[in-house]
Amino acid sequence: MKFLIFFLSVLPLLGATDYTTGRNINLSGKKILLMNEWQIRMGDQLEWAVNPGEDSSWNPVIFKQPPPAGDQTSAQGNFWLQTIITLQGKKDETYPLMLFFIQLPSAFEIFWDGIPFARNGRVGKDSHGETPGKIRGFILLPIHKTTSGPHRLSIRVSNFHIHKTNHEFELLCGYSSVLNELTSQRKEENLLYMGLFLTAALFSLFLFLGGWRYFPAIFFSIFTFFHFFINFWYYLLRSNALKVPLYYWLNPVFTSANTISFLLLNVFLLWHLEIPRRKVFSGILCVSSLLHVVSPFLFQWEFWHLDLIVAFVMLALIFQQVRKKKTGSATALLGYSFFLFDWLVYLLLPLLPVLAFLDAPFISLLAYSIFLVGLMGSVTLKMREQFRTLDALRFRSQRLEAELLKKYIQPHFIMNTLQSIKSFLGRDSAKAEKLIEALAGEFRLINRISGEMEIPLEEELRLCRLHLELMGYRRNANYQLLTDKDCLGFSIPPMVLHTLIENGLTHALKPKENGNFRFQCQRQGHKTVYRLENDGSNLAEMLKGTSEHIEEGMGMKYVRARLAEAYAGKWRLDYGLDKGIWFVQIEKEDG
Amino acid sequence: MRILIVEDEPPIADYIERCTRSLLKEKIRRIDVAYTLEDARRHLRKQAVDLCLLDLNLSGSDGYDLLKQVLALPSQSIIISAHAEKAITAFEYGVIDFVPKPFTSERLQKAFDRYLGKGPGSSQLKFLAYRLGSENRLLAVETVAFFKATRVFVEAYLQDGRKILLEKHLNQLERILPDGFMRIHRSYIVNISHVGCYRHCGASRYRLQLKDGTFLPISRYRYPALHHLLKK
Repeated sequence: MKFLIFFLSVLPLLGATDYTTGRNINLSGKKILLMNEWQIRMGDQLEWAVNPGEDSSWNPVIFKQPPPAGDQTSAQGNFWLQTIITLQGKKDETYPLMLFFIQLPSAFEIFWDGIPFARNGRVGKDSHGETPGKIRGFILLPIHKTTSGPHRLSIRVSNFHIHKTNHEFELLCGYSSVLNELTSQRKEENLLYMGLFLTAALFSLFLFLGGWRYFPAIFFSIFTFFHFFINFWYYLLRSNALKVPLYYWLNPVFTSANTISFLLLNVFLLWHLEIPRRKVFSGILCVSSLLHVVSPFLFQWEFWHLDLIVAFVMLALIFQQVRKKKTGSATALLGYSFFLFDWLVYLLLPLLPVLAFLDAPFISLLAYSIFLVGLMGSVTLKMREQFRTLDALRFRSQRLEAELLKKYIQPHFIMNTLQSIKSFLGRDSAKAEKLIEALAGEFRLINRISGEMEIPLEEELRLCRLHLELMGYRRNANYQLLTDKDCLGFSIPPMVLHTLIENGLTHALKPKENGNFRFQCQRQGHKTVYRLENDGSNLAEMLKGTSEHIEEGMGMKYVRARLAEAYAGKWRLDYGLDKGIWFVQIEKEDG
Repeated sequence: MRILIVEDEPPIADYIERCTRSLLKEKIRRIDVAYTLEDARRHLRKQAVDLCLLDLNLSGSDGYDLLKQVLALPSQSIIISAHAEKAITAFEYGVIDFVPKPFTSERLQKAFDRYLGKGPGSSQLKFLAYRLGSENRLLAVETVAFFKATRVFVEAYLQDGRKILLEKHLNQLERILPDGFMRIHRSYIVNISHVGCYRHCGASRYRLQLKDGTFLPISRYRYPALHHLLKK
């Protein structure tokens, strides 16, 4: 795994640049020499710099390749490396020649034709004596000594801080201008990536923290934050600022961050696009990511195969949502494809070097930009859809309020009441007066509460009593509303009980029939239960012995709309006959 | 007169009854009150009724059903309702009058006058209700070529040749039919737009031919009015 990460981190450096391998470098060209053929000798004798001794005491080794069978050399302890490098052609005097080392073990000293000229850290005999150096860095070759012809490059290495069994090092030689350009280009790319991911991270974080509370956005935000830090890590690495122990200590963390961020991206898409069975898929993804994270410690198998499978399954799932015309799925598919494109190029490069042109600087940046724009566009589309729904809800809420007023101030209610008043005039003027008072009281209260989403239960009960008094006069009957004493402190959308009582008067009670309404409210665990009962004979008689479904009228629709508006999905409405008593029950969950 | 008051609020029903008694006095044979639609239906099944005073919420299908049932019967109906916006619909169904609530006894008097043929008739009728088995159906008035009085009720002869029995009397129909219809004979009301020609057949006898070739008799004393109308 480390090998893969290392390889992938170095490969871009080489992908777009001309380089050669072997032991010869043409000074008139601009090519970089990747020095991978070396000789190794375990132990530490300073005289080996000048006098390396018999060739037979040195074993051949090729960097980044497994040692041949029977090879006793290791990358641990003290050892020397040497190679013969031949400088050919005319030297360009404008720029000095340079060595660029990547992940050479803890500490080393370099000798050019037996003369020491640079060191990284301090070579020691044990871990106490050794001071680790940097993980990457440039070393200027001695200008006057870099003449045409063969030169012996010896490296005195001590490696007590890092556990290494293989020679996973890299040493490049070339003009400083070419090497600098290479590394600075990648550093700039990292900076741009950081900006890109940080913007996306903050955008999605605000989507979550802001009024919208879109919870999948938090996954996307963490994903982009991870990538911001991963790029920051690469930036530090490419700035040659990391010391060996820190790098080896933190590198597994960032490798795992890569895996976890991929998991977060997929989980985000599962929820964002509302992919069916997303919980099951998330479970599978978690297991695969866990395997990926622990695999370097437990198995030799590279788990990126599994990631590739996951990526294609995700692509198929997103495509399925596109076919279902799910909002934002098409842009998400575009974005995800570009994410995979970049990833595939990295994976396929070792197999198909032809693809090197795709790894040219800034191409992957373009792919990532399209990926991020695609996903953020998808989120925006979803947001637009939700805003539209919200607008519709707001409109409905206003309509409800208007309907409420219309319902009780509409002409027929007033006209019928006025007719009743007229009927009493002359014969029973006191009743006419009481009816006028009850009507005025009811209107005053309705006018005050109609704009509210919820009102105190006491207010609603007071309104119900006023209405029952008024209707009692109109229908020549006596109506009572019996309530529990402990109804204080509860709240309810306005006119809900009022409408249910009105329904009861219309359907459950015959004219002139006296009626009792009983209202109870109680807390049951995490919910509040309101129950309204009446002992009217009409509905009970009509429904006796039948399982006939009651068609819901305008009143019930109004109640449902009010509850939906106030409690959004956290409510339940039941009604029916219970032992001859008609009941309506409303359950409201907390929160 | 046998009157049925359908009103769910007892004080108002009581008031209507009082007004009716004071206005129609000895013309009344009996007055019944139904507080629910179900009671009204039950009463209409058992008792013959001449005039129904209905408080109907025509916004619901229930109200329309009862209205159709009443209008398919020989009885006439006056709607007394607070739903004034439904008045036009009610007239289209053939009610005698629509009295909006709150009403005065003067307004109720006007409605009774219309019923008794003293006041101006409404001319907005679009449908006539009739019974087919146990079902109440509606007939579009404009599709009728002419009405003919039978021994008990009235037959509507439609322009497509069909014939429908209406449980109405020709006098009742005459009061509620729109302007395009004219009574030409003791037993006939004709749709003017369907008239082909008319002629004097000698000996003070007149005949009218419809567009489909049907001949109908014209009363001697109704001929001048018809002649005057068709000349216009």
